[in-house]
Amino acid sequence: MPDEQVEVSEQEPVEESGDDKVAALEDRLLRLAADFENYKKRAARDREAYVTLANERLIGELLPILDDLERALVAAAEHEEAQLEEGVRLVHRSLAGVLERQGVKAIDADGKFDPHVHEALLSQPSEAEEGSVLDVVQKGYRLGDRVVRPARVVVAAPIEQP
Amino acid sequence: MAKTIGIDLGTTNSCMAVLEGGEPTVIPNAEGGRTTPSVVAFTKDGQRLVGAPARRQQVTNPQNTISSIKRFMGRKFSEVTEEMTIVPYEVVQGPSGDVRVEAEGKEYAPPEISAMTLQKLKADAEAYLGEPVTDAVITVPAYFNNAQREATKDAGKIAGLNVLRIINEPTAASLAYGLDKESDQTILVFDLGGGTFDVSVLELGDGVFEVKSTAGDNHLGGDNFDKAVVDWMVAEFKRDQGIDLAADKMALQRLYEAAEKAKIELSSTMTTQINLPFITASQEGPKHLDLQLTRAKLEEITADLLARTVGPTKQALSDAELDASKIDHVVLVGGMTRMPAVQEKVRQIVGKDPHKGVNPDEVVAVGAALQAGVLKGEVKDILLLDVTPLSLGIETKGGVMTKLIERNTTIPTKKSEVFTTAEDNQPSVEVHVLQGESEMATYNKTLGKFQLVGIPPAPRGMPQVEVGFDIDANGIIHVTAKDMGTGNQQQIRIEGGSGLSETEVQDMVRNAEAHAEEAHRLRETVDTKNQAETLAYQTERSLKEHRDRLDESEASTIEGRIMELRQALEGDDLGDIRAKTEALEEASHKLAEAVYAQATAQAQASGGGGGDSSEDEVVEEGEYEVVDEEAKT
Repeated sequence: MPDEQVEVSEQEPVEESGDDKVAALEDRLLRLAADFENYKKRAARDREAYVTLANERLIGELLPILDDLERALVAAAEHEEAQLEEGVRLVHRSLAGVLERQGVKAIDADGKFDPHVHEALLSQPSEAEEGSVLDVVQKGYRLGDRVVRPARVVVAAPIEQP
Repeated sequence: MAKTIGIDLGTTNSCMAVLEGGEPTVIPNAEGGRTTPSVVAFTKDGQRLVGAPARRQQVTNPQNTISSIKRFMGRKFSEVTEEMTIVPYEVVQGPSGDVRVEAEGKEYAPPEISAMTLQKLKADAEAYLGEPVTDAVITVPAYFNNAQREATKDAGKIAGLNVLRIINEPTAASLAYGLDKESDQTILVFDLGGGTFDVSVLELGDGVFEVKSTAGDNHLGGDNFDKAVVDWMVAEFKRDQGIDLAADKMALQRLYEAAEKAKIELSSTMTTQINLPFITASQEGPKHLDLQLTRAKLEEITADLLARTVGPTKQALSDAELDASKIDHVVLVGGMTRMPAVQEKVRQIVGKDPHKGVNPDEVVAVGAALQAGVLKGEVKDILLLDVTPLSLGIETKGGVMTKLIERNTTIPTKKSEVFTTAEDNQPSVEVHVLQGESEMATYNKTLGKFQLVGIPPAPRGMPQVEVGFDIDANGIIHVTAKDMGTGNQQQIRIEGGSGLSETEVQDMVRNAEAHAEEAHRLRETVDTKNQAETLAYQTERSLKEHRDRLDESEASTIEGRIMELRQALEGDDLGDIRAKTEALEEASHKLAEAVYAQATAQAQASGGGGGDSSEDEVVEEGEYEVVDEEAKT
């Protein structure tokens, strides 16, 4: 019998606090949901900050190249073409270097046309094997496994029989 | 419960969205794009390509690349005689008079092709969500007839999707703006996409959208605008250089790209530079294209295209037997509606500002996702949570507002911070509850004030008073202040803290902005002074305690610098105060060195702090100072 008594005495307060419990749980749910909302806002803010930060670093690396290009322009006004070409070559090399450090890779465009990384600009009748890349109009690049820009290519088509 | 996705199955591009935590989110495809070209291609080696790769190989394989399949969905062969001459692939008649397209020697019904796009979307959504997706809501143009709707539903079925509902694109766009929340509204949806233009007039009553009329132009869209810009560039270049770029396919590709970029840029700027070095070459050497395009010029060269939107819009209004003044809301769909001249045209015809805020390329998919949520009962379960329109905080020493809860924080929320006293033996603290965005208390609104008394005598900085803000779901603010030493507590309940009207909130934000510079200067002065004052106070105390460990000359140097700093503090010369603060800091390092050199652990235990002790690193904020920040629970 003592068992029963315990049950009764426990049940009473439980019944009484039922409403309270619901209210408390509801409050907890609301607070959790609000916390989640606030977390989302913070995450969005953080994300924006990361993007700015990432851009800042890249821009910092690109600025010296802008300087070099300006030097090239000044030089172009004064010097022979051959030397200008050498200068531009150096600028090109340093820009390529920056991009490579950022994980940018040129997309191969010799061999078969692959629409996942190439974009066909023209289809040209040719002796070459049908569907092979004849010419690269604009180089393509990837960053990691993402295609930043597909390579723009001319693709071989069979020569039409008259 | 599995997620239901909303899909905008477009003529040129498709987009999908899902409800995440009650809010619609656009799902990017596997390539990272937020929209996917509605293009399917069959290659000679038996591959099937969908989306961007399919579009990229179009010129090498035009007969087997199926785009714009939406134009054939659910149509009879006899109805599409015009459309079929425009597309480069073969369109044939099916056994029951329906349309079939032919690719790589096989015939496909339009729903089969659409299903391939849907399958890619489904697979990409599953990868994004990390769970199988079986249910979807798909949108169709309002003018789609039963056969076209059935065909769209079939496409879903073939793709392995259980299509919960087919809804109208203009309805989805209206849902995205929450227009279903109001009753008895008339809505005009203006949809200028990549290649099609649709106007619909909807009437909303008792939570049901009814399409009153539709009109449009099946071959008007962003592509036409790009072409107009390209034509202009070609003409300009011809005039300047005498070379016709239109004959050069490679150059043309670059022109189209530059044209689209310039067009987009001119939606936010008044002028743009189009720069295409080495666009072509002549005997004289390489030629560069360098043109400036103004917004006015763009509007001039696209004037006829803009004009073509007027007729259908007026038509839709007259078909609905409505005067423009009866339209309650205008919703814009499609990337082209970002162009200010397009918005202006709409405003001219309807005389109303359109709704803004949802990306017009994604608004239909977003609405479809919301509809999916309603069907799944998810939307009903969304907790409607409010935000605090303005920041909340208390005044601290020097009239500074220390924010505890930032504006736009979702409520209910709770935040507390520990403050301390600013004076020795301070018996009470006043909690001045403020609302607003200014750094200084005087520019903000007072919500309430109360005193916490009975703080036992103690040196400044010792007592710990925890101030807690708790805003419940109804916006009622409870502010408590608790002396952590004695457990004494005092509180205030503020009602209607967020019961401000939108204009009042805007006024307060504007007001704070107007005084921002002034407030910031004041705040800087207060902060600098408070820091200097604390340093002087603490160095003085340490010196008193450890004077015996220093040379008399060193001690008097420190004393002298304390005095100088205090003198500086009487004025308002911030530079002077800063210089004197630095001088004292430097001198007080000697004190710290002496203390640490002579004493070991004992000295630390006795509480003797030099200039380097952690106490000094605490930034004094005011009448109380922040000594600890407690994370909210």
